[in-house]
Amino acid sequence: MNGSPPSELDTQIITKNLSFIYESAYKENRGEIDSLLKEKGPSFKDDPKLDKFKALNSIDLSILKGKFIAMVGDTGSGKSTLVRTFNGLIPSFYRGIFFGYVNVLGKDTIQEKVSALSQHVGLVFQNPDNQLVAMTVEREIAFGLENLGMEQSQIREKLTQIMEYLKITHLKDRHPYDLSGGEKQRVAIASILTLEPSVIILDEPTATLDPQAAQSVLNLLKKLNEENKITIIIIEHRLEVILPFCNEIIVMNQGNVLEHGPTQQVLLSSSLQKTGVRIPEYIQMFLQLREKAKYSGTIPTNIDQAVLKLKEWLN
Amino acid sequence: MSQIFIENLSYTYGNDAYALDQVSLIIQKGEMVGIMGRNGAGKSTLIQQLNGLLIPTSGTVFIDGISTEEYDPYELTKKIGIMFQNPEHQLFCSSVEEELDFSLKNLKISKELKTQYKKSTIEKLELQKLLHKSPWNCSGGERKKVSIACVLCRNPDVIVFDEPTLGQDKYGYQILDQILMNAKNENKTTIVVTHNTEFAYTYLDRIIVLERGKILADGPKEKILTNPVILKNGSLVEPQFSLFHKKINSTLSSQDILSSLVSNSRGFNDLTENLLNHIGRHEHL
Ligand SMILES: Nc1ncnc2c1ncn2[C@@H]1O[C@H](COP(=O)(O)OP(=O)(O)OP(=O)(O)O)[C@@H](O)[C@H]1O
Ligand SMILES: Nc1ncnc2c1ncn2[C@@H]1O[C@H](COP(=O)(O)OP(=O)(O)OP(=O)(O)O)[C@@H](O)[C@H]1O
Ligand SMILES: [Mg+2]
Ligand SMILES: [Mg+2]
Repeated sequence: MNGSPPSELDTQIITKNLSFIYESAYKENRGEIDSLLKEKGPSFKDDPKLDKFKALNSIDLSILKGKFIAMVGDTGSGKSTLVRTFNGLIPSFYRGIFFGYVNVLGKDTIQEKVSALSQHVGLVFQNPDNQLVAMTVEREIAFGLENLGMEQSQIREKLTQIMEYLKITHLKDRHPYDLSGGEKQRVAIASILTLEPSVIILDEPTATLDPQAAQSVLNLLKKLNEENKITIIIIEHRLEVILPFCNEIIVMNQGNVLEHGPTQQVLLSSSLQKTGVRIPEYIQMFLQLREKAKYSGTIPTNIDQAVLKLKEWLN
Repeated sequence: MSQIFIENLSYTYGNDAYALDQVSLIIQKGEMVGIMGRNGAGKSTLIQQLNGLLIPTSGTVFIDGISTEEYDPYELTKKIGIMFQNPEHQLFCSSVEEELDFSLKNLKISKELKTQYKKSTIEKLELQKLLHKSPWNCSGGERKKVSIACVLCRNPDVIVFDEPTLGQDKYGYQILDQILMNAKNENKTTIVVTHNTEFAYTYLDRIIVLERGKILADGPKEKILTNPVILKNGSLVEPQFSLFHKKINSTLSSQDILSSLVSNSRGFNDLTENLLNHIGRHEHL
């Protein structure tokens, strides 16, 4: 926010003019898309007529090392799609038409293998079922560590630690499929966190975690973020849950990034109001007080702060 | 006769552990019930007993006085509509529209009524744009809506949703609110399994907290979701307004103006109005 612009080294993820059309969207609208291509040539990709087919639409984004980012936006606005470009799942696994450029940790994602990218960018899916592959919970979590070539004794230690923290030790010999929804989610999170990738992305984890488990996962992420400078990106529909933790917000809208900035800046701008993102009621209260009653302090991002700020202001 | 009467219900998935352990429970017609609690507490297992998808290891589940084990499966699944936690366990057709048609297919009602149910469901859930899309190519929130639609279009007596708020934005909440209101107006029973504290506190009435297969607490949301012992043992957190209220009370005397404004408000929206009024009055002095 102040000082010199960030150096290339600090920037972990860069997207330039990134657009994506899922294969199925192309197939359903082949006639229209092909004739646009014929008419416009390569510049068809920026034609507004193509917008309605794009799950991502000209995204320019840069994400700095060590940020804790909340990604919010309407249902279907492109959040899951965007993060799939960060570890190469798009375009490697999800087929479609990919325009533009994504650079992750200095590498062009088109040229990197997903397996190589995944070592640096860990993604916990919106639906943990799509992530679990091993025969037991313990194997599931050990799998990634073994792939990293870590020693057995060290693997043991890490396993014990993370399973204790996420309270899944008692499940270690169970088949991941025979677990409750949130238990699966905990296993999926454990298997990514132990790898300590440079960037950890979680796609709406709190919808399946019980409220206290959600808090302890967020606390652990905050710790990894602060102590090891791991970049955290969390997709979340419930701002009230994520606001106490994040320092930046990305607002997605119809395949676009509407705004990306520090939490305060985004809360004070009008971009959230332009979307279907639900703004927590206490935040709405402070925004109203600013607008109608000359409140000029910052917007609190947790209940303790809200109590303090209101008391201060009324005195 | 109560609509749902669960008596000494225990269930095991075949291992040593009991996912449900001697649960007894009554739910009356027209109630709006939330089921909450720790991951693995038994919530999804419990609701799957209601339409006979899972059969009690011991104990009985009575729906309108008849044990689920004695029901004609058709009658039972017509009565109780369940949306599972994971929509992918429920969706398998190649388009959203086919999915709805499939849900309606074996329903023994007239063709006209089917068409009407389908149309009104599409409108209610705003699915027009998704009809020709494969459910697999939907976003997480879109897919939730589709699986909600598949349950609603059959017009069941009892609506059961397992985690309906996943992927839902403001508009999705409005839709859910509408569905719950309609159910209430029609005196239908609604059961929602959720980890979403604010949602439960805003939209539901009675909260049942499960813990290790047993009922830890059961009562009006205002009592359950503000009780520190229940919250702690049930792995829950307090709703934000109630937390705010407590923190204000614990730091200010009850004579304090802020404290009384907060005590006289039902939520943050109310408080905002009260604050603005208060400030307005003082500016005019
Ligand atoms: N595999 C797919 N094939 C085709 N279209 C898809 C696919 N996945 C998503 N889409 C479409 O792309 C758009 C963006 O979806 P995406 O899953 O990125 O949304 P999202 O922001 O994550 O939404 P939610 O909050 O509901 O999870 C939506 O219109 C969706 O229908
Ligand atoms: N298919 C299965 N096979 C074996 N055990 C299972 C199976 N499904 C669930 N369980 C176990 O039964 C218990 C209850 O699971 P259930 O899915 O009912 O929990 P839940 O309360 O819905 O949790 P969540 O909040 O995580 O969805 C858990 O201990 C879980 O591990
Ligand atoms: Mg998504
Ligand atoms: Mg469950």
